[in-house]
Amino acid sequence: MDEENFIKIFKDEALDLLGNLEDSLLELESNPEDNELISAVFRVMHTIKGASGMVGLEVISSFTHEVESILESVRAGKNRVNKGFIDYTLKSRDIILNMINDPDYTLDDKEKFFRNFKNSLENKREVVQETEESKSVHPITYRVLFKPENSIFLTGTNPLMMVHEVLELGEGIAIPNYNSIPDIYNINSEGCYISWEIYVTTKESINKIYDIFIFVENSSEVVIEKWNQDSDSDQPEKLGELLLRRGVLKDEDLSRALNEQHKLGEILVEESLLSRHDLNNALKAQDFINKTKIKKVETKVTDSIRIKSDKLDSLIDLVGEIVTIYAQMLQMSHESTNNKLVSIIERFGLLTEELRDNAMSMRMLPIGSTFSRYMRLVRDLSGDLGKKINLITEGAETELDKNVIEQLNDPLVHIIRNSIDHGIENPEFRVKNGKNETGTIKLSAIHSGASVNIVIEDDGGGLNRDKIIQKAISKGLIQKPDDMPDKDILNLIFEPGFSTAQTITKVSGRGVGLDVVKKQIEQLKGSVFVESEEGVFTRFTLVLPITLAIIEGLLVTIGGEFFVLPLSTVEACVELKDEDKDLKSGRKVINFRNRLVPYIDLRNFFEIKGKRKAIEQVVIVNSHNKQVGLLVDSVIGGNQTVIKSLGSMYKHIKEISGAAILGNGSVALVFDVDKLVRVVEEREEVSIGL
Amino acid sequence: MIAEKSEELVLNSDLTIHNIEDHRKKILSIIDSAEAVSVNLSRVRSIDISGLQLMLSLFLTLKKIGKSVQCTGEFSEELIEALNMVTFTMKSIDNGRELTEFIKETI
Repeated sequence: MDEENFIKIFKDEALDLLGNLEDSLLELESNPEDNELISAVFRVMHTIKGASGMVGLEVISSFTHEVESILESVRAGKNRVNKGFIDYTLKSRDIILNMINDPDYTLDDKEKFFRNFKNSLENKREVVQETEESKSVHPITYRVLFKPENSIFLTGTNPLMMVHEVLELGEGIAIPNYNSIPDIYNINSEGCYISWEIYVTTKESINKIYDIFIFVENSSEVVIEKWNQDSDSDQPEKLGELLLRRGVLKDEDLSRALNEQHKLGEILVEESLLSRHDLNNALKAQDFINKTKIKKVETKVTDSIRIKSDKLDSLIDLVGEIVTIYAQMLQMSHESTNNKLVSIIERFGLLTEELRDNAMSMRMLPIGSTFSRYMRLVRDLSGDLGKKINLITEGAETELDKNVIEQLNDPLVHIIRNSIDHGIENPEFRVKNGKNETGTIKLSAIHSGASVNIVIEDDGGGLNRDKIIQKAISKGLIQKPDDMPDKDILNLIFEPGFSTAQTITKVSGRGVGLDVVKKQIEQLKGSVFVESEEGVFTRFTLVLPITLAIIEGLLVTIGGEFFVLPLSTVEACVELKDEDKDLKSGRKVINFRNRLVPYIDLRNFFEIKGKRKAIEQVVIVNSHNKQVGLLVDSVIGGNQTVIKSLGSMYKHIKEISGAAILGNGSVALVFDVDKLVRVVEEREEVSIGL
Repeated sequence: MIAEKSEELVLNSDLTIHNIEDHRKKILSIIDSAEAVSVNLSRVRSIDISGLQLMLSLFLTLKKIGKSVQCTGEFSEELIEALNMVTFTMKSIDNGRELTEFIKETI
């Protein structure tokens, strides 16, 4: 591998690490005493320093070295985590990011930066207290030495139960020590002479272990210590070091034995520097610790692998091709009398479906991976504007296609910036109005059928209906607001150039308004709407398809042409006979489950010629929570649809989202149901909703 | 192989704290005169830390004075389970021979 490749791998890894670093720092700001988080922050800097040095990026290496030194002072308990520390570590992170992205980037005054960084720290912690109430994310190995008092049996306590209780906290090993048992002439048979050395790897806190010994800790000897203090080290545990730490071997004896070229344990026993019993116990401990380490390394290796995203895209394309070929095979199987062939095609179909789902799931990412970056946005901008704002996130585990997530960032940043700038009021104003001085922005994601709803809600001043109307009139967007429902008035804010901000700030309100957000969301085949109550809240809801590439479709025909409807929008299919048509009024409505549902005559709409069938089909779909019928000639059935773009020539055709190749090689157009309904509404200038 | 002047001690009750001192006295009563000692545990149903300590102490003592000692008998399910709880061995100890091996490796 050449140097460039090494640098590329370093960059990929460093970008990941810096992403995690930002999350850890923001979490640390809320939990400044969390030693695990402090160590996590330190480890990131340590790793970047080492890796950048290895690939020859000296500028990054030397910068991270200085940051690491400051972090070490916090890790060692010399300095406290405070706002200054978080601010400067975040700034350092941004600088490293710039250094990675731009090889020519130089920090203007490095000395001044680090001088200010150091000045921002608070010296000396008054009390260093370990607060490990909560479970740690990664299991930790503890070594517990338990030497019960000799008379423990007389108190009715069984020390063995405590040893087993410790082992139940995780994975572990107990090594009894029998060295203190006297001979049978001198033994007090009712005394306890056995002690135990326990190694346990657990996510439980150290206090949980102390709790087990709570009733004996005053009378017995109980020592609990973290064994893998340097949890970065995946190196196997060395027997010599282990014996030293267990206190059964002296440093000088170890050095002497290591000079011999035989197995260390055997040499030590032969030279009577160590008893066979102590050697066996140490070997048991070594075995356990090394197994734990191997498991950790194995987990690291097998948990995930890094794949270039374009390889995944190309996999999806290939799966799409296979789905298309399967459709052709299915077509053949309908015409074939060869049962064996039909059965093989059926099996191939099942596997194709599974392959499709697996490939699609590989592209799915939890939306939380983007949520975290908004924490920083809220922290920094609210600080600039002198506002107090909490960002709460929910549903971070909700998955979306990576391509959707990537394109979601700009619209989300835009809306959140708006909330910070125009939504949440100043602390004084909030308090005057009986609100908490700290405003809240809630960012949540929730699955809803084949879509994901992303909701951004703030508890700020809300939207002013009158201001919106005035602005819309002044911009010529509406003539008069009479009879305009509130919902429609609010949604005027998505019109091009609309901005109600009184002043243009550096944060938002630059005239590039929410119309851009709407356009971006619509490009993702999604939709956006707003709800608000003045003085109480503003809520933006983005409805996005889970994936854009392959969908389950319903194949229909009109005038011999094939069309696909996304199955996620379909509620039912009903027949429409001549007698069901309201010929007198000419209204296009159908009685569906005792409700009158309007329908769109697609043959008319698309001006498709030919004779109508005596019995036509109405596909009842859901569009914006309204039932609408789509009149077609016939319904063929379900179809795995690989959506192909129609190309830029057809980009103005809103109601068609793409095309699919069918089994017989013909092309079916794929409807975008929401847009189709809207286009028909606009064209007919009447609402077809009920 | 048990030596000619060997004494076999059959333990008739559990090797637990409640009767551990009785067992010690019984053992003491035979070890001085015998050249080899065997302890039959086939009737023992349970063992606790004090019982294991006593067996280890016996083996340790006789090893020091150069006498041979062994455990004998097939163990009951309950004893096997209790032994596993007490010794923390990976491999279960099912009979007197295996217990003898374990103790000899341990002391």
